[in-house]
Amino acid sequence: MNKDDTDITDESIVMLVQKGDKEAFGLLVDRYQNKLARYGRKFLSRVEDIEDMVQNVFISAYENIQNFDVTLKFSSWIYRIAHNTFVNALRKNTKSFLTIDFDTLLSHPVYDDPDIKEREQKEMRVLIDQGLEDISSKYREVLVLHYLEEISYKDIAEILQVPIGTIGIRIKRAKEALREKIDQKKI
Amino acid sequence: MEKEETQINIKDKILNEIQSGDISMRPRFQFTLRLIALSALTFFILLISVFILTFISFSARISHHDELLGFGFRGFLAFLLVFPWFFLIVDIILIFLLERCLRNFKFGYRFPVFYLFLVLLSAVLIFGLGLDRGTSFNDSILERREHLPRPIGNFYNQANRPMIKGEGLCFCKILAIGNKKLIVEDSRKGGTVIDVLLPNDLPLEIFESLTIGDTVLIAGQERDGVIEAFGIRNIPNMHLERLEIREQSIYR
Repeated sequence: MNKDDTDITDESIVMLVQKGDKEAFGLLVDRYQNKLARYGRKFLSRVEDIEDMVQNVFISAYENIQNFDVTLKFSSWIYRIAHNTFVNALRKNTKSFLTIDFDTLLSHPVYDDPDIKEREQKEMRVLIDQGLEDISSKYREVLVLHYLEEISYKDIAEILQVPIGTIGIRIKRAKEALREKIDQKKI
Repeated sequence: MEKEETQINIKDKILNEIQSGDISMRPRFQFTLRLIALSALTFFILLISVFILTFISFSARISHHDELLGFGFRGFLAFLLVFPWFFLIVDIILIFLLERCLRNFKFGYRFPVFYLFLVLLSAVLIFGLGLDRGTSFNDSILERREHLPRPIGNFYNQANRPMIKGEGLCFCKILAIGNKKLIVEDSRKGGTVIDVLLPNDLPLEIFESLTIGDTVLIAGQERDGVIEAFGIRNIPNMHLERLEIREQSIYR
């Protein structure tokens, strides 16, 4: 199989790696290192060694690749590893031992309307560029994943391992927080 | 240009480490074992929580504490007073742990935390109560407790709990029946004789069912050695033997 073939799915590449094709893992690195670096840079706005962290994400992915079920989406899986790596880096800085996420307690309705999304996408990207650093990491992360990485609510829910309704409410609150911060800046 | 070089560097670095064996895949069986261990732990915690809940229910039944619930609001308060809160707190902690374990599975994290907790609590309640009220599971353990491993045997020795001294709750043996009054032998105080004032609204059929020598559950307010009862109930004979066993061990 030609490994440069862009039609080959991530999951098929993983199957090759699982069978012992070590070189095939390089294809996955090619496909995801930019995305993960961008995700990390935006999510951990004050952390500098993103490249090292992205490298650690790939190392962890390779070590655990036999645990990946090829019937699922590889992108969600690697973003999950990246999320854990970045959250651990954040925890080192914040020293918070126990946090209760109240967004995950109850269910919330989800409105993931593609038309509204398209209209919003451009507007939100502009807002994110202006004020992302000023909002909490919990909200920053969902905005980056949804508006910059263009990942659906359902897949973000898989990455963060929370109910899909939680993603909806977090994005809503994140947008409100972002707008508020930008308004404050303008004043 | 610099960005491209960094990209190549990361890829080459990782591939070199893989080729040299510095990074290696963990074998699949490790993940399978981990999954089995986690599933076993989850199941074990579920079993223990059901077991504790069924024990709480059994203890309330065999000690006749649940009959306090038939004495209205004051009976309900008395029930709360004698309730084994420690076991319930342990059980709730276990359900929290169970919830944490389930969050490692896909179906676990898709549910909101509070709903999953409610589902687990309901499941433990239904199975625990069902096991006690619908089967003879606990009764047979109690009967065989001497032959069971010590921790379980000792645990079941505590199933029949006494009423709290001085709180106006007791199992007493009727020595004499007067008008609106009983003279009873208080099993809590090694056979002390005390007076019990019957409630004014005591149904006639209950009063008429009382006979000398009966063991009754009395709930009331104790003042100067006299209990002003707000509830009284006959203890069925089938449980007397167990009560005596328990009382012998308490007052020995």
